[in-house]
Amino acid sequence: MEIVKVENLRKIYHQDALEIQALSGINLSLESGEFTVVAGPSGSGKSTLLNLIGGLDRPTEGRILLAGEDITRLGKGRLSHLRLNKIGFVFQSYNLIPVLTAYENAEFILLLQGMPYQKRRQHVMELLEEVGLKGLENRRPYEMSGGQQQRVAVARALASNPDLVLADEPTANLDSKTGLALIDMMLDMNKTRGVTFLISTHDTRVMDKARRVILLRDGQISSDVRIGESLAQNSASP
Amino acid sequence: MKMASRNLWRNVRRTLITMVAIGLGLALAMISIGLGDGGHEQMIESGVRMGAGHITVQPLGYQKNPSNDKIITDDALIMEALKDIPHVREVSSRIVGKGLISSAANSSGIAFRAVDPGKARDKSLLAPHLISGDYLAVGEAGSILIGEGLAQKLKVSVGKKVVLMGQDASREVSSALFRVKGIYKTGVSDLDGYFCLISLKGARQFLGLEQGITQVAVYLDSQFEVEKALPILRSRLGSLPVEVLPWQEVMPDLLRFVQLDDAGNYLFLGIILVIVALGILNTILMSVLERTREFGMMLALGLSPHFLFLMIIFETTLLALLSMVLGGGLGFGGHHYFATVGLDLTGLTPERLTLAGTIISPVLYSHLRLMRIFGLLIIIFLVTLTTGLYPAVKASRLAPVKAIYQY
Repeated sequence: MEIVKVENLRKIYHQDALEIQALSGINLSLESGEFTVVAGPSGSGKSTLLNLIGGLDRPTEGRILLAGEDITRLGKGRLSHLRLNKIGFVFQSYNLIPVLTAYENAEFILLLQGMPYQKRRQHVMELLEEVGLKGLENRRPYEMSGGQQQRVAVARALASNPDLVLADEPTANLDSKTGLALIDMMLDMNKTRGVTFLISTHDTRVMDKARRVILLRDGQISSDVRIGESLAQNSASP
Repeated sequence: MKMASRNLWRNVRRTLITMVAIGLGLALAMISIGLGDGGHEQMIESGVRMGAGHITVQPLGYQKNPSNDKIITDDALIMEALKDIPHVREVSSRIVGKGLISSAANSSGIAFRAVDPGKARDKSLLAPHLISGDYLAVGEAGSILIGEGLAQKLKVSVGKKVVLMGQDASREVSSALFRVKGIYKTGVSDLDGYFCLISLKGARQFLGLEQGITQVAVYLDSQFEVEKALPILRSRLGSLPVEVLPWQEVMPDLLRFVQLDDAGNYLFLGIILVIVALGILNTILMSVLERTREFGMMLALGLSPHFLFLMIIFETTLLALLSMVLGGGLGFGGHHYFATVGLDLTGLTPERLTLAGTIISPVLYSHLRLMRIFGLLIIIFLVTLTTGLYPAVKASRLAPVKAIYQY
């Protein structure tokens, strides 16, 4: 089942009189259950692509279909609802709420969804155990390591059982060992839960773990490789 | 709610400083209002005591055009009407008028008041200020109390004779001999040089009246009962040719002074509120700005802008409530101190402070009415809430992607 379809996506930023083309004519589709990495150098448009697919920003041109629904036409409220129920986010710098504990951070989305307390508690405790944070539920972000904080962020992203998890350079602030462990954990979630992951990175070790690597360069897809398949490049210019 | 409460204590020092600023503002406003109201009440009570009561019953037209021939011939009807009116503490029948007083050495225009010497309320007006002689005795007719200024002008002392001249009830000139029974000194030059006190019996002889009075002074439990008692009295006396006036109409100068002073107090209160509002705006705005990234992340996760707005408003509300508890405690403490010990301004004022024709005690006592405190708390609360609106709207309008990546 096609979970994401991007058609002729363009994004232009205006900085004073300067026009910056962040994305120029992106076409791609993601099937449910994929574990895909978007790679490319800084400024290639990785974060912009993830932000647009996640409904955090609006494209200059083009369409984004999420589970068949064109999210570029949605208003603020509907987008907010869609993010809450269908998309999980993992950001580069953890972005946990500093005044909440690990448990409360993971619980945050379920609270917004209005899940009853008992069900919520059981679900969050299971998730925290799954990401290896059992016993650390009551720690605040500043009492945890970067790896532990990012695990909480993954638990939070998965809490609502989303169709798609978007992770923007999730290992960038972690040492290589912790980073790889996090990716392994996400892969495991992908396998056991069937959640679709779209991860942006420029870390080659993360790319090695992916089953599909989309390479972006100057706002365009320069290659789209499915690991295990013969060179399935389907895109243009280097 | 939990998040709002925890957010407030992220920067404990800043929150505490803001709470103290708001609390001190509230406390200062409470003390200022308490002392202002207390001072006004003291002034009004002093004016009422020296003047014609909280409510004055006098012949119709007397207020606009006072003259000695305007007489209430049957004060028994008025006394009957005053029976059972709630909060009426004391009633005093009087004859008031103007005339000329002469001694062997000099003469002077004066205002006189004739009272029943047995009435404690009337006695309390001048008896405490006697510097020589005695107060009028019950039953005597030929005695007069005069002020020190007038005594000096007339060159008389206790026991000396003076002649009082004036227009009697039939508009004829009449005169009567009085002996100075006592000399008082209030410090109010208008009183000490102009005002004389005689007995009702003496005034009736002087004005050729068999009975009758010119004024009934009605004293209530407090000035705040005037609005309740006045309509009852007016309806009961509606058929008689008398006017029933509250102290505000009998002493318009005092009323104007109180209103002017109140306006000054409100201005001071307004300045305090502006300072309080700026303090809150600073705290909430700073705390919103430093959390821009966090708010962006929350919005990205699916928090609705509406919910974010409410969260910040709740933070502001919590800050306001905590500050009000602190400020209320401080304010009540200050009020209690000034209500019991008083604010002694003796060193800053003349020996005898007079304003709008009334004697003001140099020691001010705070008096806070529940409605005033309630009103003040509501104003502070609304100011706090209004001040929190801008940061709340600003946060709720954040674009998540900008907030996350640019801050």
